Amino acid sequence: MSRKPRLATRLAVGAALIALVPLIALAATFTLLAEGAIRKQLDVALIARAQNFAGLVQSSILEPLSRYNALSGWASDPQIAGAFVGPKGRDGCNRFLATATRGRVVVGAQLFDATGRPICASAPELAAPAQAGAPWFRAALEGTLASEGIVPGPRGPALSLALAAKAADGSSGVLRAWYDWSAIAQLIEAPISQARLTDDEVQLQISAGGRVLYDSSGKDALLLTPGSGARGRGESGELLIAWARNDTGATDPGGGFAYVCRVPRPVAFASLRKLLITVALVAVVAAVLAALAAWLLSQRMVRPLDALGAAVERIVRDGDLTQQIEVSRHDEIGRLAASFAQLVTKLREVPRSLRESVLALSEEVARLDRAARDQNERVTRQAAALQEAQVTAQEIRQTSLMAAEKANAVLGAAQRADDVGRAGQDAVSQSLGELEQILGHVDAISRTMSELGESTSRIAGIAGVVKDLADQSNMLALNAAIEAVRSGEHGRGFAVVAREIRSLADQSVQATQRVQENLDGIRTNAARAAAITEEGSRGINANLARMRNSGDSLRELGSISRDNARAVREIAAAVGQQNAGIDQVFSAVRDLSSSMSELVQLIEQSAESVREVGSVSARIDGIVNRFRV
Amino acid sequence: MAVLGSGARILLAASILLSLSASAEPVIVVHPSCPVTRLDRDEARRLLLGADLSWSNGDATQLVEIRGDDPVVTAGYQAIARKTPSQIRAEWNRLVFAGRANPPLRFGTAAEARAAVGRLPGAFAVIDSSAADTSVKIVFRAPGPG
Repeated sequence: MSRKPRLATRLAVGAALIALVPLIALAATFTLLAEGAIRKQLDVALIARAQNFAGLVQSSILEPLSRYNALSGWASDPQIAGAFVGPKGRDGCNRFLATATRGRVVVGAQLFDATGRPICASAPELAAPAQAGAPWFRAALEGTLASEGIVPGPRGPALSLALAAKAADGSSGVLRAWYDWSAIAQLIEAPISQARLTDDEVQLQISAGGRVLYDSSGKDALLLTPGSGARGRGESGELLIAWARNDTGATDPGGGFAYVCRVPRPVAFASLRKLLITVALVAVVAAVLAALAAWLLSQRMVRPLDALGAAVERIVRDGDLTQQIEVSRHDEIGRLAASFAQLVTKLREVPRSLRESVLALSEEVARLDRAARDQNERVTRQAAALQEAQVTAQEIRQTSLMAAEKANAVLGAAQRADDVGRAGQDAVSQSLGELEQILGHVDAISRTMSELGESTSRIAGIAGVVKDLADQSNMLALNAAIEAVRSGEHGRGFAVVAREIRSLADQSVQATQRVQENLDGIRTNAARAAAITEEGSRGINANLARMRNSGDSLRELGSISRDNARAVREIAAAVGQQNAGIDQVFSAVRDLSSSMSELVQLIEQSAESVREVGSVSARIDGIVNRFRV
Repeated sequence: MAVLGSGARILLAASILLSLSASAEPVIVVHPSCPVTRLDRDEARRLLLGADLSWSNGDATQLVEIRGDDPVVTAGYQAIARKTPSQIRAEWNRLVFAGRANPPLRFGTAAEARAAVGRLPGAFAVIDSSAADTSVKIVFRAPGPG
């Protein structure tokens, strides 16, 4: 129930503010404008008053004073005229002035000669010389009534007036009188009060030379400092002031007087303040009225809202949906109430359908729960089987790895065997080549041998020819020696040559016989060598054939060993592939295992969710049961 | 205070009006020691205008006035000298400036004025006869306006 007053208060405060703000703004604007206007009028009025004041004092006091002053009467008095001529006249003058100044206004008098020397005075202590050059003295000598202004007099401040006096001998002097200023100032009061220049608000002051000469409020008034000029206005603290000066010469009575009128600022603006107070009062009243109106209005608005609030509260507290909402208005609040009534009607259906739904939900939840349990069990079993499979896969993998290693070892051995076979083959081939080469050599030897035989034969032929030739030469030499013996002496030389030739021929025959013999030896040796060569060649050929046989065997062995190595390599490759396959199988099994554990977790979660749904449905059931339909 | 003051002023004015309508009679009162016991109209006029500035015993005359506009005084001045108070005042100012007379004394009420007359030898004043008492001497009675 604390909301009702709050809304009402808020509305009331808002309305009060709405009422106040424009009024305050208006008042502020108005105050500003009015203050300026009032100030202007006030200044005009104050200056006018100061001028009136100055004029009044001038006409009622100063002018009569100038016109009817005592000096003009005295100046023509024989006592004064006689004062210039001797001590006797002076005594007479002293007495005259003493008598004349016995009153309360003219409090002292003095007579000077033209040089300012004192001749006689109303009292001995007043007999002081005057400055002959002073303006007032000169003006007085010229015959006009001159004033020195306010000076210290015998009884306080006094207005000093001076006028020319004629001596009996025709020479002139100056007669001066002190008018007690306080007595004069008293006279100012009457015309002012009659002219109603002062009142409770406006006070007047005369000042000159920094001294207060008159103040309508009393004697102890504070000096107001007026500005220069014939008139003007200004401010002095909390006072508004205006001043005026009369158009008088410096030596005229009242010359240099400033007439100031003043009014305290609060008094001057009192009307404005009153107005402001009125405005403030109006504003407050308006605000109060507005607040009251707003409050009443809000009460009217809030009451049906309160009824609705109470209904809602009953629904919230008791779940009471049986209550009827009355609709008695046709505005927005009425529509709200109608909508709310409809809402309640609709709400009544909700718990019922909700209850049915909850029942169905509970059954479903139970079924789900069972299914989840079942699933959980199965999956757990599967997970165990998978675990075993994983172990087995691991073992297979290791075995396969070992097989791969063995295959690799076999492959290495085969490779080495192949290499050895190849080396043997190469050696056999090389031996074969070398043997063939030897065979070639042997053949060549054989051929050379036979060529040698032939050459020997040819040499034997040649040697035969040579022997024939040597035989013939021997015959010839024999013939020649016969002939030389026949030819006697002449033939002796020839017989020597013929002997020689015959010995040569003999030697050639012998040589040819030795050659023949050597050739026969060579021939037999060559034949023997050819036979040996032939035998060697045969042996080599036999060896060659054997070697060829063993080279073929080696080659065969190499090809077998290569076949072996190929087979082993294929085996190793197969084992490698197998290994990779087993790896895939293993990782698949592992993935399957982790998926399985995730599945187990998911199943756990779903079981948890199922339980949660169960508890939620139980809670909903509880809530639904709280409603009265 | 201001309200009270203005109220008092209104009461005062009312009482004066009442007294006027009842028995408003301006009289000239003098100090008891004054040698004069009775003035005729001309003597009263000369006294008021300052034509005579001393009594027969040599005392200087001293005008005592009530501040502001007092209808009885106005009526009295009119009746005695056929002049307004301001004219009387101007006359006296002239005398004062000439050094022949003392400035008039002014008081707020008729009673104060009467008391001053009773105190000062040579003093005189025009007041309502109802304000006069034994401290002063009535030497002239002017016929009232009503």
